[in-house]
Amino acid sequence: MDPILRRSLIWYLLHLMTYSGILGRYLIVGSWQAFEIIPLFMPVWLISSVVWSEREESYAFLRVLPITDRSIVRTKFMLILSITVVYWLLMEGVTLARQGSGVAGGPSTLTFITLACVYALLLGACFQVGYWRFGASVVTPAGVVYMGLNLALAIIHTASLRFEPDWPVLAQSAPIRWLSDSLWLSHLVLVALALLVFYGLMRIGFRIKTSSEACL
Amino acid sequence: METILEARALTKDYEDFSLRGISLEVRRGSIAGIFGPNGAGKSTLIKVLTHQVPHRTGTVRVFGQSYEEHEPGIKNRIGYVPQEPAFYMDRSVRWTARFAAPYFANWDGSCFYKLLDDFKVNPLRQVKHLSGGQRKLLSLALALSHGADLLVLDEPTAGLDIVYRRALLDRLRAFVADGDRTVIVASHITDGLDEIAEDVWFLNDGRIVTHEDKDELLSRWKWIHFREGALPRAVEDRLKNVRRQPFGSSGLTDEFCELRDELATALAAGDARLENASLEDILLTQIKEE
Amino acid sequence: MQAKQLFISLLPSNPDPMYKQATDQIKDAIATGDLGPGDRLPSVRELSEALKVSAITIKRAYLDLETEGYILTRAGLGSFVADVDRNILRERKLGEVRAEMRRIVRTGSKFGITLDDIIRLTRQLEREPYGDDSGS
Repeated sequence: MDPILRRSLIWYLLHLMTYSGILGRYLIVGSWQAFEIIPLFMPVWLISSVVWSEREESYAFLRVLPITDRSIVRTKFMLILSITVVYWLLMEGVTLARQGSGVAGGPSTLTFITLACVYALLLGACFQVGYWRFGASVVTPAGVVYMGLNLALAIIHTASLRFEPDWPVLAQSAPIRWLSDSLWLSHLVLVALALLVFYGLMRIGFRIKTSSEACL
Repeated sequence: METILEARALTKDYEDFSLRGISLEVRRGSIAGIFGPNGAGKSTLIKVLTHQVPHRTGTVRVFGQSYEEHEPGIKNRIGYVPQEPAFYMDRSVRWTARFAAPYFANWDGSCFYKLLDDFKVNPLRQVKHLSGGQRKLLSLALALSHGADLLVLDEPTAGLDIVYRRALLDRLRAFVADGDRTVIVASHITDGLDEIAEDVWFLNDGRIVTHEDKDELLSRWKWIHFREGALPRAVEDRLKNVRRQPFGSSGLTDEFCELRDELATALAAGDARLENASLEDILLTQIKEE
Repeated sequence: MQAKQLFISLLPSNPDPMYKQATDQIKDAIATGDLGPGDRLPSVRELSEALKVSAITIKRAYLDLETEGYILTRAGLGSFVADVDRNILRERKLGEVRAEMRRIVRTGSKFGITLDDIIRLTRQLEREPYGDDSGS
């Protein structure tokens, strides 16, 4: 396996395991609220994966080796994409499995999860490119700040759901219901758009990685 | 003479410093020395030549190829030792070698570990626990263990004790001995690399001030110590760095070959004496003239 | 008064130590008449500053010169050239020339240069002592 991939993969897998083990199990045993809340935490885990994997990365060392910047960018981007797909499959899989028991909210939950994963995917890509453009000294604190905000909002939403009777449920909101009316179409379009933007970010990543010295 | 590395009109801008229009050609089988004071741009130039940092305008071709098209191929054949080598700090030396090895087409593990042994670097140590000099030696060991044709070193003797310095010079000489492999080294002159350099470039303030074969350079430049009035007026006027003292004056010339005949009289009479100019003398004079 | 100014240059590349170079060059100056008997030598500090060497080097040179009788040092007044027997000076230089000649003769014989060649050359040089070295 590509050494760069191997080194980063460990962090991503670790995060995936803690996500599944700590949060994911609520999807299996919890009520419908779990499906409203757990996906909100997913971006935190993904950004954390990026931050941890970039923490001790040594691009200056990699520059000495016969590796092109393009292949580094591709490796990192494919990793983010693959792991997001795994998160997505796991959550969608559990949702579908539990649809029978009437706990999950059906199509809108599926759409909600997809949206959360798309958001996390593109955000993760932005942070990754950010590392190349601005360097770890800028982006790691930014990542930590983002994670804090995301966590805070998710916790507020969780608490409000419990204590505010009229607190809006995101998965049942109008835009998501509209999208889930034609489930297959909207999923197709969402995924296609997501991949397109992701690809665009990767191209930007190519340009930035070759011309930036901030990460060295 | 085959050109192993060619740079044309390289420019690069930082906030407080620029490389301005650097062009150079390195012959295969030679030891090329790039010398200059601090801040002259040696490291920047080396980083541009080895594609560590991008440049604004100009071209670099190594082994006749450009980095845009053949980066991995070129880097496979270059052994680069940076001024401050970077590694995955929290990993061991051995892990580093295992990480790097798959990327090189001709990785030689036994050679690498033998070098570590010679350099007295413990493969099991974490890189962050190595001293600066040891990290340099690790970088050198990596550079010498993948069949590179071109070694590029940035201030390799800084941080090494004199025993290692001498061993390094010997190693570099041996590297080019068969005429197929080449060395480019950037350094302060006083680090001893001027001994082995065959082609010399002087860099100052982002520009190349001089480029010459070292032997020719040293034969052109001489110190002349002379008794006041012993030299023909015409010769004395052409001297640089003239210093007049009560018991003899001295001056530097870069035209010794042309002046030799005119100096013959004074030399034979014992009214003038010659002394070799060091590369340092020459560089300092050229910098002052800029 | 001195006909010519004293000229000393100490070269690091010379295998002789600096103090010995200084001693030799001062002896030469005395022998050629640049320094006459009774002439005052520059002070140790003067000379060491001008030549950019340590005062200890010059002090040692002066000490050796005094020991060998070339100069006299008067406390507070400085060092002066002694009245040296010209023959001693001549003998010293002759010794140096002899060493050079031995080298030339030995080297020459390796290349088939005969004594006649050397004598002929010596005559030529005698006629034009400071001429061009390019001819033979």
